[in-house]
Amino acid sequence: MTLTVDSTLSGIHSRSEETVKTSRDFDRLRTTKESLDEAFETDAKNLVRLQIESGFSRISDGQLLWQDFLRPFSENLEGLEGGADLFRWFDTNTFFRKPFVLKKVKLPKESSFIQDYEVVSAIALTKEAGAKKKIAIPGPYTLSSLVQDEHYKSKREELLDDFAKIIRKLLKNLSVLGYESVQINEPSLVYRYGTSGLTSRKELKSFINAFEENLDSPPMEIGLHTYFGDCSPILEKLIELDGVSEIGIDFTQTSLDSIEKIDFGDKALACGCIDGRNSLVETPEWISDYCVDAVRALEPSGLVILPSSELKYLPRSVADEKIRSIGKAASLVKKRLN
Amino acid sequence: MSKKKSVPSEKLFPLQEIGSIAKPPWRVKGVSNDSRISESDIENAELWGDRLGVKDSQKLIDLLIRRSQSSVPPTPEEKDLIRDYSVLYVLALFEKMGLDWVYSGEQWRVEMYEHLVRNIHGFKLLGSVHSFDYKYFTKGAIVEVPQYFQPIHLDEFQFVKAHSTRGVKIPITGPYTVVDWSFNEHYETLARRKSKGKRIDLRRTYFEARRNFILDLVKNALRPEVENLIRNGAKWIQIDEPAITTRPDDDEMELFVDAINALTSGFNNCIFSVHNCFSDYKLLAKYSVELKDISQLALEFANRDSTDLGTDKKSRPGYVDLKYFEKEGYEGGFGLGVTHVHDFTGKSGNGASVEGRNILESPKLVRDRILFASNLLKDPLRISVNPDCGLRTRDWETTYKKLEAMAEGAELARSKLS
Repeated sequence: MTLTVDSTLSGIHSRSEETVKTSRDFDRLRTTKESLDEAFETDAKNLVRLQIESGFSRISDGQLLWQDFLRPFSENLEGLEGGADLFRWFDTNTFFRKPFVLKKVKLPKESSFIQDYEVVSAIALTKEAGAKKKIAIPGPYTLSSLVQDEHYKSKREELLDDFAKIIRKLLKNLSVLGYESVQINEPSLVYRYGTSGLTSRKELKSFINAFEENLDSPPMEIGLHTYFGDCSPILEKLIELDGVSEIGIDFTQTSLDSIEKIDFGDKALACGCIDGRNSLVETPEWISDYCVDAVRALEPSGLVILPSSELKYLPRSVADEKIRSIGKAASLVKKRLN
Repeated sequence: MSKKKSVPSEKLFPLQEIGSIAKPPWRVKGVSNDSRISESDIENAELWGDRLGVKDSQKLIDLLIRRSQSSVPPTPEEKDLIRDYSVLYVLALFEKMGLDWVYSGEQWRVEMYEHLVRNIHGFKLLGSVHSFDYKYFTKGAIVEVPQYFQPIHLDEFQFVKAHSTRGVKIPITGPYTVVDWSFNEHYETLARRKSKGKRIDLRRTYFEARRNFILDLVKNALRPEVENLIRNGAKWIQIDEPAITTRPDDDEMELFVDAINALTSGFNNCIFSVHNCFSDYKLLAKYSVELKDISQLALEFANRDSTDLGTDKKSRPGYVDLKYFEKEGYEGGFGLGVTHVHDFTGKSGNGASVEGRNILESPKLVRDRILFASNLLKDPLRISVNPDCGLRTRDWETTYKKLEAMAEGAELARSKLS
């Protein structure tokens, strides 16, 4: 049987130096909104073209307009209010504005808000190239763990469940917007699992319940990606989730040895062996060797090659080099496994 | 724990600054080839020159007037003079406020990370990385073994020493922070090479590479710099480590401790302190007793405190974390952060007022913070007083008011205890 091999990004990409300069100028009132929009458009188009040239099968606009991974949600969900205070994004040197939960969280009636954060002209190139339109969104557990809850208090499970309901509705909206691939990112699930205060074993059960009740039959292919932590303690539970076709693992944090006895069942492996946080560019041969070893050890139903995390932690030139390497590695892996 | 050299002081609650101060507009534009000095920049230099009594400030004003009328870029000599004056203004500000320990406000540095790595062989600056919103920072990679090739802070130190009558405390960026904020290409490559032909555990190679990087950085670059500063008369070096506790694992904290001990061991004529802010102090406290040669921890507390007056626990929640250090047996001094340094968005209590996005602490609030800490530590001699961190995100007017309140508050606390 032929193993499908896909390649994709994991979320927000880094901005080009030109966009950095223009957005800095905009921030300091030295340039216009039109110049800023133009910079983002050029930037996103270049990024989409690079993904197409590199043979990526799922393509995004790099989510370059997302100021942080929660921002479209904190700016649009009912019940959430964008906070002014900055908080560290896990153990990176980047920051996000922590939203407050002031009342029950809901998707607004005008619920295609994701459109406001798309570079539409860049995404249009995806369709022309015949690739799948892809987006990464935060999962219900990560959302519930990173907000400042002033409403649900002891009913944390209810908050998690409400975020899962929001994601269910959002997936339908994303399907209408033409998204064929959605990656649900859940770093909070694995970040210092059981010790960080973000995660606890009891909460894992709540997550599984919320996910199964709300996301068991999504309208498109869904990947569940874990990163910034070791997923080995919870991997078996994630593999059991219906509705998810692939499980993403950050191999800079999870050792292959520790999970090789786990049965991957009918799930594909999203192999995050390309370090999203180090500028050392992995060679296509190195990535290919790692992926082939992982496939042989885990026997997944398919393979997706992707960075361990978003590439926004790298300067753009380095992040783009990683895209080229992933593309070449995907070709090598296809030849070796099929 | 080894016996610590105490922080030298002739009075209770000595005053100190922590790091950077906002660069005045004439300093920013004056050294840029693309910007023109404006009328308001000249007025700014005149205003603060008069207010602080900066010696020979007319020389700067004359230069700025010439620059405002010129369309050619400034000469290197003109740029140097502008940079020199920006330090003189900072020193005048600190001295007017009565600070006992001063420095340059880091006016000669681009930024705390970039300044250091630009001056150590083996680093390569790669480009901009997103921090938040439309804010970015330049990030470098270590691509070879780090090597010291020239003094990094000596000119700055000697300039400050020559122009101030106060004690001089030199802030340098610490090894853990440099490593945490850099990409690790060289050592990761070496570590991965060792695994060639075998299945690689990336988490393990990552940590091994990080450890080798930090130890080489200390041995080959930072320690020679410290030796050079001490040889030239440095009496107090503050090691800035904002990155510690970012990765709250024991092995990471041990790495920090090992690096600091390797950097500071064996020097008899110099005091060392560590500055850390917006951090997990329970975790830091656990390792504080292992920092063998550190005489002071300069920490941020005002940011986590209420702005109500009072010296009870309820009024002073931000300073309760001091108990963790006591519990662990830390015996060194504290640089007690008594003024907030960032934007303030909440409501002010009866010990402060809000002006725009600034909280302005009253002297009485500063007093109460110091008295609460003195009581908790049961030894006021262990306390020096400072802002939470460098005040570079505040304008000069706000900085002036905050330092003034800090000095007056410390005096009120002294009176109370005398």
